[in-house]
Amino acid sequence: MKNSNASHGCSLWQDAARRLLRNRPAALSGVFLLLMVAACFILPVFPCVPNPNTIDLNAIAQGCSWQHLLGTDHLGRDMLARVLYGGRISLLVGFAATTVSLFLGLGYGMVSGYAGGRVDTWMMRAVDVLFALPFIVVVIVFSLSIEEPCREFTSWVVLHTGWNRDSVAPLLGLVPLFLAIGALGWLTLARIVRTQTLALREQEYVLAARSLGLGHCSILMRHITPNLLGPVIVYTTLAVPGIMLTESTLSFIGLGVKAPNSSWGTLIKEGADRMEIAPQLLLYPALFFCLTLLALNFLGDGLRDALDPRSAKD
Amino acid sequence: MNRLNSCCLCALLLVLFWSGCGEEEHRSSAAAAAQRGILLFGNNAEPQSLDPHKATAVADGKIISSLLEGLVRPSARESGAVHPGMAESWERNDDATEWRFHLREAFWSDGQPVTSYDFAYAFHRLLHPAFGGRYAEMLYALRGARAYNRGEIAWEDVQGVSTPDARTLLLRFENPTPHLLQMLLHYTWFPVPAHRVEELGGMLDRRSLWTDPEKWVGNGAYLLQERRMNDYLAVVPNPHYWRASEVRNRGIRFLPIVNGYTETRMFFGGKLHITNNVPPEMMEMARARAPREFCRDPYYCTIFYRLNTTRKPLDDVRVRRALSLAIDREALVSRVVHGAGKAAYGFTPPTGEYSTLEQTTAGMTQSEREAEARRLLADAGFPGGAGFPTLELMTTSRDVQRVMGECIQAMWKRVLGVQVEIRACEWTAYKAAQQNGEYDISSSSWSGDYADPATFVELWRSGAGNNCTGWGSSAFDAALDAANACSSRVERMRKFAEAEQEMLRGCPIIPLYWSERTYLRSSHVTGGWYPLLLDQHPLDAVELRQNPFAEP
Repeated sequence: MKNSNASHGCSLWQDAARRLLRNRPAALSGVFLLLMVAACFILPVFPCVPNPNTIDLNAIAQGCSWQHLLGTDHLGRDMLARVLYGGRISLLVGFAATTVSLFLGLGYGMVSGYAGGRVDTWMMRAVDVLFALPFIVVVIVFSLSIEEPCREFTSWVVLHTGWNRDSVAPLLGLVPLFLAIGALGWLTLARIVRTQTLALREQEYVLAARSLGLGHCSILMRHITPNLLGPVIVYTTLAVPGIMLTESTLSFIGLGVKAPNSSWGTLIKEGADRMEIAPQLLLYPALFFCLTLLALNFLGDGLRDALDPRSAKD
Repeated sequence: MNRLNSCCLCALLLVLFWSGCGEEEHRSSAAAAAQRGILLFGNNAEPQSLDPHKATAVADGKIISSLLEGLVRPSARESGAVHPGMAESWERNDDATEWRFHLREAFWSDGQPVTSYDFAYAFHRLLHPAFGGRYAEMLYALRGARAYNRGEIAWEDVQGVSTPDARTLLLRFENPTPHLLQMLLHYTWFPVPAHRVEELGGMLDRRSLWTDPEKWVGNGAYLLQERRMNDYLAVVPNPHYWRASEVRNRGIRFLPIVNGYTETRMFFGGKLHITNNVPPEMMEMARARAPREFCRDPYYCTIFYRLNTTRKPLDDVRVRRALSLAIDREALVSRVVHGAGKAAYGFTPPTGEYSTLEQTTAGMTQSEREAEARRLLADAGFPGGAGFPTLELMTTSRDVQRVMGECIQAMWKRVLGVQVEIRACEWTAYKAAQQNGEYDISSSSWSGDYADPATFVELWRSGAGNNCTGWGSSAFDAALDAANACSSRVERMRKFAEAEQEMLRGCPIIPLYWSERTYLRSSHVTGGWYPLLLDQHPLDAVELRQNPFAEP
């Protein structure tokens, strides 16, 4: 009993968590991200945060006050509420799309690299073909083609759950967006995973596992996946910012978030137009966005160090 | 290492930021162009077409007017005044139904003479029922033109245009047209090089390549030199132009910058001589920063929403009126447009001699209007907005339009409980959707082509090319015909006002405000630019100097 406890004490995850916590910037970043997510998703529920779409033409582009903690925008809407709601959408799209592409890329790359030979060649040529398509154009076509079914799904949800349409529609309206980005964003990850897998499957411990009679699935889960986590996690944390930027591009051409709802991308765009007149409209969303991206980068970096099974156990 | 990286990144961003703020270094671009005599002209949007028979946008018209010249040309000093152009002289009969133009000896840029046949060919092409010219109704005043355009008679039977000889053009009109000379400034009355159009695909070829820079033949002050999509369109002086020696600059670059914020910033960065528009929010800043360069001119222009009356529930006039009444125009003008306009309760901008407001609700306060709007919507079967479908408001990607859209979206939701989604389209997609009627509500603007209410009211004739709302009323068409038949100016205005009342009752559009024109004009521009109500500036008159404050 004691023995098994001791071996658990040194398990990959506990070890990683310990190393992560010791890495101060990464740990702080993680806390910051958690706070950010909490702020964006929980704070707006409280009645003290005003409705982000309430226009007050008598209070345009005002500075900070008790009523509006971060002031108001060019149509007199509360800036704090807009930044929080915008963060909700940006974070949701960023993480949801990354999750979609994570599973696709990890599975595809691992199978391709582990199978090797002709299967590998064909699977990678398919990736090459997809790579040759212009990303934005494909995302636009794809999201347009699944927009209609998604809209019906929204109506169905509203009908059957009785939720308020105003609060559900902006979030469900994003489903085509992150499905589209996620379904096309896995290509780079598949390549990274496949290259790693190619190297890993030749390792002695994989050979040993195979000669002991372990099945392919078990080998992939027990021996390949943990060794892949380092690059995958780093890539993922770096992909989230890119996806958030793609989201703002698509919102700008009218396929993502629809006005009056906003994401950080659209808020920054609106603020950038008015930076001479009211710089705070650019400052706040940009600050939130930059800090989040920076935190994601630090956290990814820390996770890579922490999760690397080859790094010395101390 | 990573911390170092992020520090470097921050430092780099700061450097970029400050270098972006420095403006004097970048002034050189406009100054250098001024030295070479090249006018850098902000032109709002990428032109849809340079073919005068296909274009409908203001941006296209500005380019076409510098490439082709009609019978008369605009004065740089006075709006609506004209100078002889291709026509050396002209005479008219007493009731202005017959005009005879004598053409001067002028040449196309390939050396061929400009003849009256080129004019007749151009009118024929625009009016040809198989060509489908959007702006054909501009020529409807010509006798027989409308019937021909509708395929009722043959071109030979059209009496409006005749060419006694190569240098004489005879125009006959259905009704008295004393304002003809102003109408002639519009590009729909310009000639096209008949020999060239025939050579490159013929009269009815809508995809003809004759407007390509390599193939271009024109009779205007400038020649098409180069066109880069979404970058610029360059023109150079035309050596064959009959006033070639009086062209004051050595070329123009039209820059299609849709975003007014970007454009204004480019102006202060020294990349432009004349901008198209300063966004309302930036007016204070622009005025403070460049008091001598900031211009605020009166403008003959209405900002309004088109309603697609062929779609439910907008086919119900009560719904349309409710949507119109729910908008607080005064708040819109004072807060969103920042006073650069006037709240519009009618369509045609009021001038000294003409003014009309929506009668039935004139004089109501805003809360009375809102109550009336709620009542109308309930009458139409949507009390409190219940059961009302989500409509789509289509705007261009221009920021002012989107901001206004968001504001009106909120007003409709607050007053009527009506849900509207905003779809911001890129300019060409917006134009196409509007002309094909693929929209619910379309954010639009219309600026007058000549100083007469007809240029606004005629827009809503049933089936007119720029109507695009699907609305039509025989009573309105008859009222227009009656107005056109008047020979007395006062009577004409009264009849047009009656016609407009009829249209406003039908409510195919929601007038929002009558806008002013706010723009920036660099001090490099030293002459040839005066405030004009119709914004028909002859760009060949614009003079440039590199150092505007030095003596010449």
